[in-house]
Amino acid sequence: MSILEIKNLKVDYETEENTVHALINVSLQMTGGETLGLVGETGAGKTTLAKCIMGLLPQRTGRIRTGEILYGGEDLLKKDNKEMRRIRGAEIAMIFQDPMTSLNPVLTVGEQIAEAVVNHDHCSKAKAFSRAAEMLELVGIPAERLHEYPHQFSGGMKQRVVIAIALACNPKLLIADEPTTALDVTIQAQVLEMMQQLKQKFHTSMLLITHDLGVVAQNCDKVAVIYAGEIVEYGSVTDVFKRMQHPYTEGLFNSIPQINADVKRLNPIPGLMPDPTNLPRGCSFSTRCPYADDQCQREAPELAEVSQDHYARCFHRR
Amino acid sequence: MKNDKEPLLQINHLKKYFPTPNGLLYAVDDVNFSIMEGETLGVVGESGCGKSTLGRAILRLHEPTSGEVYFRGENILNYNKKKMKELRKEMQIIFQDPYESLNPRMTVSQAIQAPLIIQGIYKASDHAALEKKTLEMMDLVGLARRVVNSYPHELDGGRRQRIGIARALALNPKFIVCDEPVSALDVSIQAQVLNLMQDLQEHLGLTYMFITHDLSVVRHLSTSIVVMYLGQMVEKGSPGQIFENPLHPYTKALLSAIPVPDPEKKMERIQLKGELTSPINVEPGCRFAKRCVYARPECRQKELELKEMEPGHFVSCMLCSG
Repeated sequence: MSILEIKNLKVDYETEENTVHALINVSLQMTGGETLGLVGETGAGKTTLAKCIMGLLPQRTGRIRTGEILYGGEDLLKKDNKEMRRIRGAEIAMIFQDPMTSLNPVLTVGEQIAEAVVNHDHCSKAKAFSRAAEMLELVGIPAERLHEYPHQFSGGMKQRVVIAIALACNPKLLIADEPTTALDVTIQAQVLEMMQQLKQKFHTSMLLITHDLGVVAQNCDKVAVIYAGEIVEYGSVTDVFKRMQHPYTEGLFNSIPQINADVKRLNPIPGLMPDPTNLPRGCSFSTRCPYADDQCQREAPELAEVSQDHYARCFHRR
Repeated sequence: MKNDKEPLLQINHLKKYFPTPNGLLYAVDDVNFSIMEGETLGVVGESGCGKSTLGRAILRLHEPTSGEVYFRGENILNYNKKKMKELRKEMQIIFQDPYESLNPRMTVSQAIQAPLIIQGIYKASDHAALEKKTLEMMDLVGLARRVVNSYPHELDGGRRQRIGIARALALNPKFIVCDEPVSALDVSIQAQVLNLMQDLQEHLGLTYMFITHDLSVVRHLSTSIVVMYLGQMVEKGSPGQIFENPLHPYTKALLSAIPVPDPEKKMERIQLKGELTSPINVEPGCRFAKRCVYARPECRQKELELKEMEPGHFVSCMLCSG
């Protein structure tokens, strides 16, 4: 059964001068216990999607034009603030990207972890603190450091505190926005392993937002590649990694240095992502795509099924 | 190990300790290496292992506690302030975070011009020459000329890092410490910047010390690699030696922890025990022993030395004997 279903989500940011098209008709489905990887570059709309699910879209500028986000059959976009407060943390928790700004500098890390526990489990402070100590150990920080402030930790450790806060209430759905990007590989491996174990133990589903294709390959069941607000390829990890259909996916793979081979020169995707206030008329990747032709510049391709449960948005599927 | 050429940079027994309320923090502890002109030394290790401090100590941005730093055969730690300033033209640094290392109130052109004016290469009043040089640098690093008067917040990470590179290159240095220059960038942009740095190295004959935690980047760029753990060098060798035949248990664990972008190759990770030991008031013996699966009681008793296991491949581990 699907725990989360996103249907035709279209989100813009209204600024004084123009409209930023952040998400364009995004549809995704997650079944219980599954890990879905969301891969894309900065500005592709990954974090916007996470914020929509959490109900944290900036109210002043963010506009949800169309779409539904069904969590356990109920549309999260119709919930009021009070209901969302209950859901956030206990049902759906989020690990934020930047540990430098997501922790409160004037509270000890123990207080910040305990806060989440007290808010949702309504337990005593002492109990919450012992839970906090447990969580700290779980993410690889000695429990003695419970009473230290964020500035006393390294960047990697701060991120582990953020992860501890998110996991403290055993959420059913975890949205991890680049959870290990700031961490070292050995710690990243430990943290991902820990998240996997926890996931299995509590049957948690995870939306793992990342740009690291290695992390996706090792941790996800399905993957969605997002480019300029659109899902360009979507399918099982094996399909997308082994039988990739979209030129952008291909470009991403060519950009990463290979650990197992001596490559003299990398092969990056030329240029930059298009300006989201002024997207190209046809396919949004056509400006950087080596295969683009007239049709690509004229019309926008649909997300089409290329084989069972494997979708790609390209006229020139291979 | 001795080449007939003289190394551009040679570090002997470099140490940098920081006093903390709880005791001495051994950030860099007895590091030795040399870099030949035109080569790239990759320094890898986890956060807190002292790799950034090492880079900064070499440039005397942190004054080393003891040791020697020879640049072109001269110990720069004996240089006075004036000579040091002169030397900075030749030794530059590219910082990690292009979001925080640029002054938000300086435009691109001001940022690139600042080192030129400070070093007295151009007079601040010589606008025409400064502008010409700025545009030249921007072309060199692939920054569009139209952003010349933009502020950093108007630009994306890749462009900002190009400003950092342009700024470091403006003085025509020989040696550049690159402190995680691409770790804040997206993969496609990261590849663009890495290619740029490689091209610049070829064209300008630059020597890099490339500090990173990303082992795949290091393999791609380096001529030799140093692996650091808690302030110490644990392994040193060519990329081939480090990647094909890692000897130190830490290097092995580090390599096995890299997620492979292939869903059919499941990682077999070497489990690291326990927590990071603190670099404050370290105990004698191998600093990695507490997390090492192969550790024996002897490991915590003797101070370890770097042993040469095969030509050019050094390792500091008790259990590796020749």
